Amino acid sequence: MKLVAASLLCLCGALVCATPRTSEWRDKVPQEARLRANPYAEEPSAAQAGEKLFARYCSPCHRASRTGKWRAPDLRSPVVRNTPPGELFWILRNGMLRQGMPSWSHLPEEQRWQIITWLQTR
Amino acid sequence: MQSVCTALLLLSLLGTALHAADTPYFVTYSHRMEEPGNLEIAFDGTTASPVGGNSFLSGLLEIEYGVTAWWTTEVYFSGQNTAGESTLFTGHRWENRFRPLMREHWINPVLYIEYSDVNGADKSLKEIVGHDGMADQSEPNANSRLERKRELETKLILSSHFKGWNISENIIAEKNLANEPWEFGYAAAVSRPLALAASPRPCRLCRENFRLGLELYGGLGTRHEFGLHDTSHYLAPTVAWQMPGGVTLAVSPSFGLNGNSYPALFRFSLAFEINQFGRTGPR
Repeated sequence: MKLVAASLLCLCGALVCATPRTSEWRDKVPQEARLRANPYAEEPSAAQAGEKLFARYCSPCHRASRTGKWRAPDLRSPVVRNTPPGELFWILRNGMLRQGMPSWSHLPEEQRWQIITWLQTR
Repeated sequence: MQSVCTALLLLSLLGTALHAADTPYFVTYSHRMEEPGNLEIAFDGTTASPVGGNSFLSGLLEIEYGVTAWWTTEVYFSGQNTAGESTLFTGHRWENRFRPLMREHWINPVLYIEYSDVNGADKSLKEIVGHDGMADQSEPNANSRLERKRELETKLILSSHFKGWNISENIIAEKNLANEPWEFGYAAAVSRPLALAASPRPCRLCRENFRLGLELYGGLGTRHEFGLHDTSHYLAPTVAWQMPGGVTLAVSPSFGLNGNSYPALFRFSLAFEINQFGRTGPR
């Protein structure tokens, strides 16, 4: 019984520690990450691959039209187009877990850059 | 077993937008969490022909849901069929995984806690702990099903992504709540997709749709007898294929590394992911 109580306490602790807090994501991106260049910039074949990957991984939340749904933002905005690719790459790698954006670090870096290429060439 | 297969088949015909998970592991967990709002339904099978025992097929129905981007919850229902004996439901499990750190690091921890209520006939081999071995499961179903095990299992999951590779390590501690000692185990795995960049055209057999991996897992004894003595260990190559239509198929032949282990196990998994389950409305 003590064990179950202790486990529940740990569970509650974990939940409290991870309670969502909102903050501006752009402030969190380190300068060195912001400066990373997209190795696939302007490559049409990378953009095509990015479109395919976007449809598979991103469109369930952001919709195929990129207009967004629920808490997922509209990705057609000039902010996305004009954001340095390194910032977008940082967001894809880390996610914004408290705001509901998952980390996509399990996708190889190449595929994350392909998605960014497509987003910024549309 | 037949009804489980029928249910999975029906789900596949629903036509919902689906895509499935992409890790090829059967025992080891990485720090990848279910995307928030997504529901994954998977069927995991394990089959073996133990020395001096009857061959069996164990089935595990998994229902996994991403509650938030840092919390994934999952329930399991298990059953098995042993040749010449019987087919039976063996119990259920409820697991929760939490990511305590909100950013990606070199090593990413995930806290895992699971409550299981299964009987002694359970052969899902979802993890190996303590002195688990082939001999434990050679008892006939009619006897082993009478034993009821309520267990609490915790894991520390450590996982990293590096240049397309995933490297994961799990440290397992399990406690039978019937006043038995803590049992320990481990699992470690590496995997990598066959291609890191995606091809520009839609395709079924592109290399990026395949992921190869290798798992190593086994028991580490109990609190009173910690160590490798009288434990079992397995080495398992794995391959996962992310098929068109939102289905992932994974298979893994596993090889026992000592006399306490099954000489060979064959595992397979079929997974479907229902995107944004119950979130169909507009913004």
